[in-house]
Amino acid sequence: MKAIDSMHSGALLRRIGIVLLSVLAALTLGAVFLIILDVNPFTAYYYLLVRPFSSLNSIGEMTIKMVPILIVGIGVSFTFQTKLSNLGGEGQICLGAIGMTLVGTSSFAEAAGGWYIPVGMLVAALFGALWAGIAGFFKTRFKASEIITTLLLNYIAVQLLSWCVYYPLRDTAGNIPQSAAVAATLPRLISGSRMNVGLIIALACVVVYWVVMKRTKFGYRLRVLGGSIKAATFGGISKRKYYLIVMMISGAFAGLAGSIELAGTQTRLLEGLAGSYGFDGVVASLLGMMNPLGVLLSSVLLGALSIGAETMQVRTGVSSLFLNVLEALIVLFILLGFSFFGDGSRKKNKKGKESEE
Amino acid sequence: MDQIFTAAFLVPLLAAGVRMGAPLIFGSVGDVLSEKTGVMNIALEGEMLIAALLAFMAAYSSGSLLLGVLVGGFTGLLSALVIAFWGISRRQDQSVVGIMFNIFALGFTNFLYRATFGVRTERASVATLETIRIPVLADIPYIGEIFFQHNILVYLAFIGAVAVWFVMKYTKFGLQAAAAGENPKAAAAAGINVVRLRYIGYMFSGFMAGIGGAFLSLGNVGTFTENMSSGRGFICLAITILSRWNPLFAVLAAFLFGTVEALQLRLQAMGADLPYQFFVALPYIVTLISLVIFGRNIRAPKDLGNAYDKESR
Amino acid sequence: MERTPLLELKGITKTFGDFTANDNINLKVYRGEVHAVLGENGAGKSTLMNIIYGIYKPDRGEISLSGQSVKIQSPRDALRHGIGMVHQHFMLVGMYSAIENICLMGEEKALSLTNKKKTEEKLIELKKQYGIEVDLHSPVEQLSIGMQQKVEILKLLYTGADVLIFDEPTAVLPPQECDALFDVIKNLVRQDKGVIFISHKLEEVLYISNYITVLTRGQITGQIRTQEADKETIVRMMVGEDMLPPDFAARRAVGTPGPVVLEGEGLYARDDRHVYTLQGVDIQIHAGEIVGVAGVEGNGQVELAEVLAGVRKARKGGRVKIDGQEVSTKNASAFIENNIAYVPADRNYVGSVPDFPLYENWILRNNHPPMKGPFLDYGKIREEAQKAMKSFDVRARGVEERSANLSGGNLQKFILARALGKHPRVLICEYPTRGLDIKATWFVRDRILRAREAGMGVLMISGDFEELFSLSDRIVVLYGGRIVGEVRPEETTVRKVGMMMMGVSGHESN
Repeated sequence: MKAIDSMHSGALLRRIGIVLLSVLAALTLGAVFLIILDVNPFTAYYYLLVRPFSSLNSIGEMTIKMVPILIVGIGVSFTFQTKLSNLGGEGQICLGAIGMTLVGTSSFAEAAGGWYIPVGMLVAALFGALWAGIAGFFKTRFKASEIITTLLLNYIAVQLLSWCVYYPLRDTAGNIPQSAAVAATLPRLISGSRMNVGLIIALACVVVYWVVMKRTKFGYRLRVLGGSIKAATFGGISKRKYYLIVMMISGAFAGLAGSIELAGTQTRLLEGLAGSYGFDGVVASLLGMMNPLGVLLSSVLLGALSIGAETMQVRTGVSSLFLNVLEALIVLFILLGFSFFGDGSRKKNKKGKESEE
Repeated sequence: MDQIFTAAFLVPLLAAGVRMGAPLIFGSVGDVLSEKTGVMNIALEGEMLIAALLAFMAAYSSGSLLLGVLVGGFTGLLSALVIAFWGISRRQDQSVVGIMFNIFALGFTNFLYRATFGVRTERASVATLETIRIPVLADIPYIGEIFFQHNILVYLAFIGAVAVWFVMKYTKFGLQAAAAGENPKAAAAAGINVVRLRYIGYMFSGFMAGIGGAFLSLGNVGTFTENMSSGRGFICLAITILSRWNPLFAVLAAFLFGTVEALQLRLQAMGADLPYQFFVALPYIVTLISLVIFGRNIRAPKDLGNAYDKESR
Repeated sequence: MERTPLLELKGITKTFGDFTANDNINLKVYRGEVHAVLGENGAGKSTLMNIIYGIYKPDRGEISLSGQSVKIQSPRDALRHGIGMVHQHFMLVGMYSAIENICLMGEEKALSLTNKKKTEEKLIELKKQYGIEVDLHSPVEQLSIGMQQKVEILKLLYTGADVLIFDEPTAVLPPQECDALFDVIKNLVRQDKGVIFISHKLEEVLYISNYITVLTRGQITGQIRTQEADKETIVRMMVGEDMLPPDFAARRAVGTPGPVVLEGEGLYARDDRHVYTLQGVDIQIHAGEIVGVAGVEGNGQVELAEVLAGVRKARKGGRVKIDGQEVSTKNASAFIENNIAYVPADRNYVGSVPDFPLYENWILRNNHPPMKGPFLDYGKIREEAQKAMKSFDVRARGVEERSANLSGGNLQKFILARALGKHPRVLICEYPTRGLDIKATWFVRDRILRAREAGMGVLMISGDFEELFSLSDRIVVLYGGRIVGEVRPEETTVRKVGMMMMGVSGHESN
């Protein structure tokens, strides 16, 4: 991920400037699309950008959108650190949700009540890790591009989830293809808001990510692998081993996100549960430049926008997926901005100086 | 099972395989050329999707399917031009840019379709491309039905694949393109404009993906549905690898995947014992498994995916 | 006799950031002459040639051809103007044959069919005219380095180049092939071509050239007709003072080797293209000795070093023993655990992570970096790095500096400091002084000798005969992935080793 390197260092002010300008440019271009299609951009952007912050309730809603994005984004950041790409968040969320459902609707959960939750989360993380591990295994054993395999696995996982709710896990009591409700939902943090302990778990994930990457030997090794594969070999860091591990870690985070979405928000397994969290996580990671705080802020932004997008769709008829357009444009403009004004644009000269005559 | 191994089942199945393989041919053959010059078209999926919609809209409002197809092609080409600016000129990570474009395309098509056609139960539709029977050949038993009773784009897909194969194998351009993807510095030292060549390869890939997208909306169903490319772009990327960057093998692989898709639809319709989700997932499973089995020990263009910087060493 | 020069440079200046690579360079190349550009590594020779060849744009200055001022914007322009360059790293597409590599060029339309027959005919003619013998049909990656170089020359002749630039052409060649190259160059000037010959080796410049330009730190510090030049004047032009190299060879004779510390048995290995380049090598390294490994590049030396350093797998049952204990070559970590230090050829991407600050690079290839509980103790790591950098005279702005910003010499010293900092049992180094300036070279050689004096076993791969002969206790010669001879430097000559490198075994050549 060479693009990311160029984002990694440099004057903070310039970075913030580039990011803000990119957001502005994306919104402007988005407004042009809206105008062409005869929608008032001010109305649309009001619902999209301003409304989500206008009440405590919607802030609570925002956090429940933000939590899966953040956790997936942290997982994706782990892989980006090694220059792998885990684009299979969607599938891994599905697997995590399935795992959580299996535990949460079991007789064990009925007996244990809320205490099934940590067990369910572990199982969910394991499911996600194994699902991502398929791509990791194919990568390390057969050199299959993890970009393609994780994407393909998404389509398969979505069908797997669909099968689960139609057949083995279907709640026979109702007519809708969905599972029974889990034994207990995640504890709420504030009464009157759906904000739940998932938020605390997500914030803990950010801290774990920061500590592991910056302070531990393991994180150091991942970064070496991302910096130069050959240097990793030189340093006795097995590419095979760490690629597989990092894919599984990433999958575990996505699986965890799935379990929180299931036990905290949906309470039942149903189709479309993963929504666009998988790719939102990728966007959050890129937008936050893999920096823990950056990923956190990006997730807040994306969470808010997701809420806003739903309101916008109801009020103005503009598809909520219009948000994808804005997300992609923001990232693309940031890349462009950094390629012109970032530190990477000046790196070239340094390289030229490194004479190898 | 008995009813599967009859001509009445197999011949229409294979014919459908050819038809469903055609968009995959467009996608992968273009990508083969692009990858030969050193640029992987991760944005294939998005290019197909946007082209499918714009081709449909053009055909819907003008009533001309030909115009629709052309609009599809140029949509792909322009998309590729934009992505190339990021990936080639500004040397940004090709896969990141590609992924972002795919996300953009998903949102953009959804937004545009709803804004244009609204949310209606009855979808707007156009006539599909008509079938052209190739004289004489279409009358050959079995073979005729499988290969020579299709719409114009199917034939174009085959012709395009052969043309790309020929250009890559026998012309100076082909030699230069592969050199740019293999060793861009050596290519530049031989006086080749690597950046221009990569632009050409990539934009061609975009154009082909656009035609493939147009095929999706205009060739088979005559309508646009949300996210209708549904991962075909990624399957095309896999085909490129499986074909070992040979357009003719890509045709073969596309035919194979097309047939799997046709098969799963038929099996679903026949009410097989397995749940339908299995059939829907089948093409992706087959792609994944064939990547693992046949994708080993292959020699990709050496500089594939790397940005080319003229002044670096 | 004022002739018009074929190529003339006037006031060429090129800077990279605040670094001036070329400062006001003037030189003239005439038909039928070899103009040598002599200078140390980093003096700016390659930058200058890249300017002539259109890869870099000069900040100032003018290039004229036969008296006409020209603008060269790209290699394509250069070729069109009759300027061709044999690069140090050959600019050939490995999977293509010589003919295909040449078909790439030329002015035909892009969609025209490749006419391999016609190209071949013309090439055969050129081969005859210039006395160049080379295989036109095999993929060039299968040809020897010398052969590839000839393909490069043919390629340029094919396009009708009048000025041929040779960028350090002998750096990669064994001595015998150098002679063949010189014959080709003489043929070229006899046929009225102009040749620019870039080198940092005095002897060969005196032998082949008609005119010498000396480049030091980007500036011209001397220009002289070769017939009026001798070694001393040129050395003075290069270093500005009389400097004598330290006598390394005298230190070699001291001490006797100890027990075997590192041993390889029946080593086979594949290179990155999955070709077996190492074909059954047995080697022993004793404590307190330097084993030099000579060979033409690509004959398995690097793979040998990598297997012994634990970063490449030994195949076909080959075994590596450290102090008599077998260690699996699948596990680089075990080699690090056993304190096998390794200085790889590629300093920038193998020996270090270019984007890491130096203190983070300090703990690369280290299983036990300083820890505080479960966390890395960066305070201590910085301290260690700082201390080592001081004692190895690594010049950088500090431990926070990214290693990509260090010059080759400073980075090499850093890597060497890191390798030797753990008092290893064995030091394996590949081309330890390649690309370094004279002072850094001497520094590195001194440290390698000190390592030997401290009782380490040293395996040193080198392409530099002076280095091999002055440092090694014994030299093993690799050819085709096998050891074809083992000699003591005081009992042999460069020529004999050169013969062995070509596959002629030591005994027959006597």
